[in-house]
Amino acid sequence: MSKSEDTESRTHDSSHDTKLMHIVAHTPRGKGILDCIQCGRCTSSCPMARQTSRYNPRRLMEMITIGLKEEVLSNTPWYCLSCFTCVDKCPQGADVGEVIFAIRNIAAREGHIPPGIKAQGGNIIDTGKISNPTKSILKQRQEMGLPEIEPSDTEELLKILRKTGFDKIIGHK
Amino acid sequence: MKKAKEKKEEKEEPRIGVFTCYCGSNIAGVVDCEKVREYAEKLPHVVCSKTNMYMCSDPGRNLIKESIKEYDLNRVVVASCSPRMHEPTFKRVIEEAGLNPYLFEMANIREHDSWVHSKSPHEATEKANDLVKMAVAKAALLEPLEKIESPVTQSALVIGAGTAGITAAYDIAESGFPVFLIEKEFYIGGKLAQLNKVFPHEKSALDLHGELVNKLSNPKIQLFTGSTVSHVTGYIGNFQATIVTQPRCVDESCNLCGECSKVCLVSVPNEFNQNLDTRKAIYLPFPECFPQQYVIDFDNCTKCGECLKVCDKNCIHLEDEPTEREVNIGTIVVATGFDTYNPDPGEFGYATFEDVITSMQLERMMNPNGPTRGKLINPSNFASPNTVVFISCVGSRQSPELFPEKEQINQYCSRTCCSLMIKDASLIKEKFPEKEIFVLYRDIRTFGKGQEKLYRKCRELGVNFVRYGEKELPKIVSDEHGNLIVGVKDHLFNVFMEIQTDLVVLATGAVPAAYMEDVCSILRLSKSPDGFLQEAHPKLAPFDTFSEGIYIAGAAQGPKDLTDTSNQASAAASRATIPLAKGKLLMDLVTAKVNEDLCIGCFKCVEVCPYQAIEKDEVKGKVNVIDAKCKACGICSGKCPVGAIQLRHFKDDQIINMIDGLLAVLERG
Repeated sequence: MSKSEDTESRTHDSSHDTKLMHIVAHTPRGKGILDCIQCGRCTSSCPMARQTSRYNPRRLMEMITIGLKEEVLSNTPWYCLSCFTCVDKCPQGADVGEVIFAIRNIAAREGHIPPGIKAQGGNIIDTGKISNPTKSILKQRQEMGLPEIEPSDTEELLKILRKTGFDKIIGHK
Repeated sequence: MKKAKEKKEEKEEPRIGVFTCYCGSNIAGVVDCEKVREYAEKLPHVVCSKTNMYMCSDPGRNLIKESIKEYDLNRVVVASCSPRMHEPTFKRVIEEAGLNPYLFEMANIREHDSWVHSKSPHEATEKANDLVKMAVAKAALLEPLEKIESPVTQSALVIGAGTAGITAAYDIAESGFPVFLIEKEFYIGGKLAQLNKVFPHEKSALDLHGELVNKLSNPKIQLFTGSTVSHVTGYIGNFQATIVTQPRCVDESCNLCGECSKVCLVSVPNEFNQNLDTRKAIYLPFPECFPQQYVIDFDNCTKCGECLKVCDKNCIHLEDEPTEREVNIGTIVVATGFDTYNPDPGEFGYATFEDVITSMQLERMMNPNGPTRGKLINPSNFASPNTVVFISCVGSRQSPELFPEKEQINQYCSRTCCSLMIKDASLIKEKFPEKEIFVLYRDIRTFGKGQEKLYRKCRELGVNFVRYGEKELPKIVSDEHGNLIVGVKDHLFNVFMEIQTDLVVLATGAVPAAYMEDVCSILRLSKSPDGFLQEAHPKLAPFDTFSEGIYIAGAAQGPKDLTDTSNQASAAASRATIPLAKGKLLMDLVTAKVNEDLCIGCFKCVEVCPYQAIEKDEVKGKVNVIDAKCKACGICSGKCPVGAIQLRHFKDDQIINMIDGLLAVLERG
């Protein structure tokens, strides 16, 4: 948690899109935004927020309410690990984790996917895995006499990904 | 008033028993109680001195009772806690043992000694000895006293015919006692009459108003509208009140044809509709008002006589004068209610911009019988607003730093504005989902039954809640096109945002009613620092005042919603019914007593008595004390230049004996 970011006064130039809350509320999984009372139990229980001050679900929810669209659709929602602890902890049933999926969907639709996430998507298409072993790991395996990793069968997966337009969303060639 | 015969007891030698309490370790942990017991044994007139772990417990009480029998005691001193704690307990104990309960004295060796001198046990024991010695010195001179009986006038007065007043009056009347219900306005219902719907169930306020009107059909209730209390004398069970009734000038034969109002030439802002429209000088307060009669507002009427010409019932009487009537009552319920906070010009843009209104104005606007017949409009251009911004805590929880120039700031929570605001926001959003609604709040306090659900419903309807900070209030300005811009700093995110809006609704709080000032001075009631009536005890007696026989109901004691108002009204009514049902009251005779042989008739005591308990006897040139009114404060006795007025149980010789006792200790030391 970065205290400084919380207390530091910031003026925001970008205009407030007060419609954002309604857009999110009407996106599948996004209805919970209307129930948030800003108590902060999501942030206090979030394992990711413990690691980095860049991710704070309570503030993300507030950003949606007051319509800071640019910040909402930036890298922020992609930090979520989808553990859904926040969903269990929320006293109002605001389903924070679900709301984060809703804003990821909006971000994807508007072309705001961080390059790292796109690269992971590309990995899935290419190999069926989000991340692949590095060269040093492959070398270690070889030295230890372990068998080579067989490529996954991605044929069916590729069909689904193409049909749903996944490759286009992440811009995979 | 009948005084019970005072027992004439022969002067007998005092036989005093001293009982020192350990109070577990509360006293014994500091004071050496056994040393106190030994010390007390040697004091004059003391025939027995004992200790116990808890004197107020059953074994302790039995010890006192048995000792009274065994040693034939006629005075009892208990050295323990504060008399506020257990004096009634021990008085009852010695009464049960056959002694007059006033032959009892208490030495406070806990609050006044062990608790405050816990670091110096030796000195604390010395002090306990001194306190016991003083109590014994006074006990030797104690005299038995009897209680007096006072009859009760079996009727009540209720001031204010709003929700609280009518509920209280109805409950008293249902118990079978006549009630005089007075209301300063010419209609009943108070603030409820002005509301549109009430939270949390969004019931129509008009239905509730109808139920109040039904309650008034109880034949024991006598209603006086346009009336105030001008003078009250007397004491619990025997009050006399003067009711002044302003002339309505339109009698009961009025058939509400309304012709008079059409021809009236005077047009003034309609205060019932929160000045959103105008009314004539002869007018019906509102369509459903009770009593259903027109009324003339003499502050504005020019007495031109136009209305007389068109009235075919001849029910208008311009020459009517105020009338006065005296009533005798046993108890009084004060239900004077509250006023809504009137923002200062410029506060949140109020009075600067036409489209900044208060929540009461919104209530009138949304009311189907209101000035706009239930339509939500911008007062400036009569267009339907697309965006509405509510601002909470206007006139409530004000920060002293932000209003340094103001004499009286309201630091309390008004308790009703959050729910009222959320109810209105929900009503608008439900009816017009396309309208954008913002609620700028400091905290949301929807505490009552069903109100949290209303808050959730409001959020789920899509109302946007933005929190602002105590020190950074929202600012309202207009841009070059005349649009309202609300600037607010989101307290949770620390960013500034601007909302362009059509209508701003200020959720104004409650302030003490202006009329309450008069009621306070007439009834001699005290006010709490926030200006509302002071209750006798915040937890155990929130409906009592410090004046016996006068009770508080509703928002006169502090801001309340309708639920709490009804609760307190019924509670106050039940309190006010107790003396009426008893028919007579037993009172302590610890009061001032005049020795007529000594009284020189200077009437100094009459001037200083804060309870008007002393009256002049012009014939004899002396004074009389009204025992039922005397609160035993002793001011008269201090003021009397000749010592003619003495307070029973606190007579000069008793007090002097205590001082002598203490000084004797000092000489010894």
